[in-house]
Amino acid sequence: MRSALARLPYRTRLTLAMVGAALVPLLALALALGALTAAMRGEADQRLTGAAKAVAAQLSDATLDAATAARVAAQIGLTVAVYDSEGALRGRSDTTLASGVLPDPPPAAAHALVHRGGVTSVFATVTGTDGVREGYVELAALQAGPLSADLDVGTLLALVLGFGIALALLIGWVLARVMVRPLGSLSAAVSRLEAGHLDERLPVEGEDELAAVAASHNRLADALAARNRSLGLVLGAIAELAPNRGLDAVLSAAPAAAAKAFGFTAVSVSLAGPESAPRPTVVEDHVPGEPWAFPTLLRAAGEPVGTLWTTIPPTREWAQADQDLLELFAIELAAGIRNAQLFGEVERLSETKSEFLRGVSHNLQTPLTTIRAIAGQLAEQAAARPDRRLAIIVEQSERLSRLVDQLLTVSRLEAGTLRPKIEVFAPAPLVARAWESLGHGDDGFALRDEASGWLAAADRDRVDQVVWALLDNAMKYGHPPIAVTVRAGAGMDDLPTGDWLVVTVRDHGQGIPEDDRSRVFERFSRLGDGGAGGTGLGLSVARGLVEAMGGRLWIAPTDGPGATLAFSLPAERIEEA
Amino acid sequence: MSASSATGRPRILLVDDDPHLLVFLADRLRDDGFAVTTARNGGEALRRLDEEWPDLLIIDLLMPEMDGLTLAGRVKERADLPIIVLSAIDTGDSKADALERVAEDYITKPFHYPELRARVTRVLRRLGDRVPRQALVLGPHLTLVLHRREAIVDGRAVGLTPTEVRLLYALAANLGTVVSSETLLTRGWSDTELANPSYLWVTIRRLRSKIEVQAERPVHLLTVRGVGYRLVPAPDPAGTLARPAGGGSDPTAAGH
Repeated sequence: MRSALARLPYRTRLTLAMVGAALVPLLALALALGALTAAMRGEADQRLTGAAKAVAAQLSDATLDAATAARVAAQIGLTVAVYDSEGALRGRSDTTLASGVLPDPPPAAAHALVHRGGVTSVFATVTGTDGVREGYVELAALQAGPLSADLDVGTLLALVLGFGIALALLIGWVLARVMVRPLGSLSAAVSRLEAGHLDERLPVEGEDELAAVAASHNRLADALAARNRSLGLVLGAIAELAPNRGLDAVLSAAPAAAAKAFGFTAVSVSLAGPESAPRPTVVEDHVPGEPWAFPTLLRAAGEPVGTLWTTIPPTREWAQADQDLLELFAIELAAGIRNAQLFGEVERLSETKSEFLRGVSHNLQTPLTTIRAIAGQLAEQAAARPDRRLAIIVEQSERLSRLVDQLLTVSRLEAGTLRPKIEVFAPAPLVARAWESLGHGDDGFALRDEASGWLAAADRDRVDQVVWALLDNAMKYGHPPIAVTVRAGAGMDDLPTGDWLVVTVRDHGQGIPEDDRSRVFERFSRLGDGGAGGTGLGLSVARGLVEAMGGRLWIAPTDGPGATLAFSLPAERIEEA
Repeated sequence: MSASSATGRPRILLVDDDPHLLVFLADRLRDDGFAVTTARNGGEALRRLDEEWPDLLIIDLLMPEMDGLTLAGRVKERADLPIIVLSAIDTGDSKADALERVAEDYITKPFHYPELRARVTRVLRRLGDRVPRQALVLGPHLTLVLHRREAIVDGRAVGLTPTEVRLLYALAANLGTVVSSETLLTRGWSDTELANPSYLWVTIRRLRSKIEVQAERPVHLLTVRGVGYRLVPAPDPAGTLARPAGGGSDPTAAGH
């Protein structure tokens, strides 16, 4: 019952409560009225019964007829009817009250009381002195009570109660509506708060309970807004911990950020590790009214990273929510420190690697420069009597330094630090010079420049590296004649839109077997038993370089025996500017 | 070549820790008419500079004690002496970036001697161009910061290639007046690059697309038909065009 009641809407329950409360006095009044009526009737009935008995006794041996009835009625002031022993009416003093009919069964020795339509009749047996029943007498009177005989008390009570309930329901419903309305606006305010409208407040009117609820709601909203602000401050503080700016930057940004976000008066970060300063292990409990310093352990991936020491001022209250936010900050700080450490380590390793490669490159290239320069000078001086051996020294030292360069380039391509310097130039003369540096003579080489009117926009040194690698590759794995063509083309060979120069290098060797085509560009792959012994880097590096300049390098279809490699470079049309 | 010696031969200070290369290069450069002094390391180079001021410095990037970058930085602190750096690394290295800031040019080992000589010639040609080593405001939409190899176009930094920077140096040194195509070709490209006027045309077109707000309607980099090009400040109705402060007043700070 109670749970069923509890399930009803609050407004209904409030209405029911008010109706119930209103009905209690009404019911009490009705009960009292009923009791009073009953008491009054009982008394009247007794009187009437007494009178009936007295009349019956008086009429003993008298003639029971209308005259007698009238006489007795006049004598006692009540309506009187008389009946013979068979129960037939012999006379009555008036026709309105006396029923004129005996009750069934007729009263035996004593009397019978009959209530009928607001009239009470008492039937008594008239017995002669010989003890023989001579007939019956009926005394009738209006039913006793506070109301008229026409209106039954029960009906009246039912009417009044019904009307009272209806009126109470109506008033209760209206009142409940009025009383529930502030709760509705409170609920709406909570919903808006929940939806994130932290700046909305309820009006506080008066000093009643509803005002108290509104005020406490407003305090809640204030507290939420304050938490929201501190969360924002903490997130802002976290955002300032940029691990990519290095460990020192993180460590110097963290204290200020934490102080601003949490209102600390002092913040310090100590790193975990052998060099970290010894720190006090006993933390004094927070004494209200005094500043409080306490540590937060910084852990990243389960490893201790350091400790965050913070001091809160005496005026600052420290709640669980603050602690939660501080722990959030600590997690991010720990991750930031760890990332900065790792980042620094990677940078150090990368710099070490670059340093190493620079050193290797320098130590190889410097003597090679000298060797080549001096051999070149000797060849010039001996121009009258050319010595092929000097030319071989020049070519081989150049070759060696190009291979060293390839190794360096691989590491650049891997690290993504290769930034081509884009200039405009005509590729054909560059191809001719690269061929010359290979020292194979003019036989077996043909260069066709079909790109007049166009210049390549690329890194000259890088293109030189690519051309050299393709020519070297063609000589190593293919056979002369080597045919190089430079063409200008838009939309050819499935090239992307835009202007392109395409350089094709075709040899007349065995060609590249279909199965090996994907392997050709893999690093350290050498096909067949070419035996010439390259680094296996040439084509892989060449493709990487071309792609870094925005072009593509691919195996082109070959008409007849041999292989054709092609690469594209962004092109610029020659027009006087 | 204002700082040439009495003999009229351009003076070069050559710094390299490899004695063979040092001797070879010194010989070749002397053969080609340069007055060459040599130094084996950074400290020795700085002492040589105390004695005599050359027209050009050639420095090896990697040297023990003091590397080429440090030496170049020290030299630039004292005066804007043109520097060519010899290096076994080329562009794309972290050091190469720093190098491009202090060096007029650099050449990658191994190199052909003619290549080096061509670079030397090109750098010396530019000695007459006196452009203050600071931002050059050419109008509300364009500022050139040539020593940082960039232009600021509408507040946005745009990177310039070495060739573009060389052309702009030549043009900025003659701000407002025409520079012939022949001059620009010799400034922009070295003799070994076999450049022809088409290189200049295309490079100018690319440069316009970088520094002009509307490349088809240039206001700064103008063509003088049949002669060459000129760089002009934009018409400045408000008269707010900032003049580079102190430009040319300090002889050691000015000039390329």
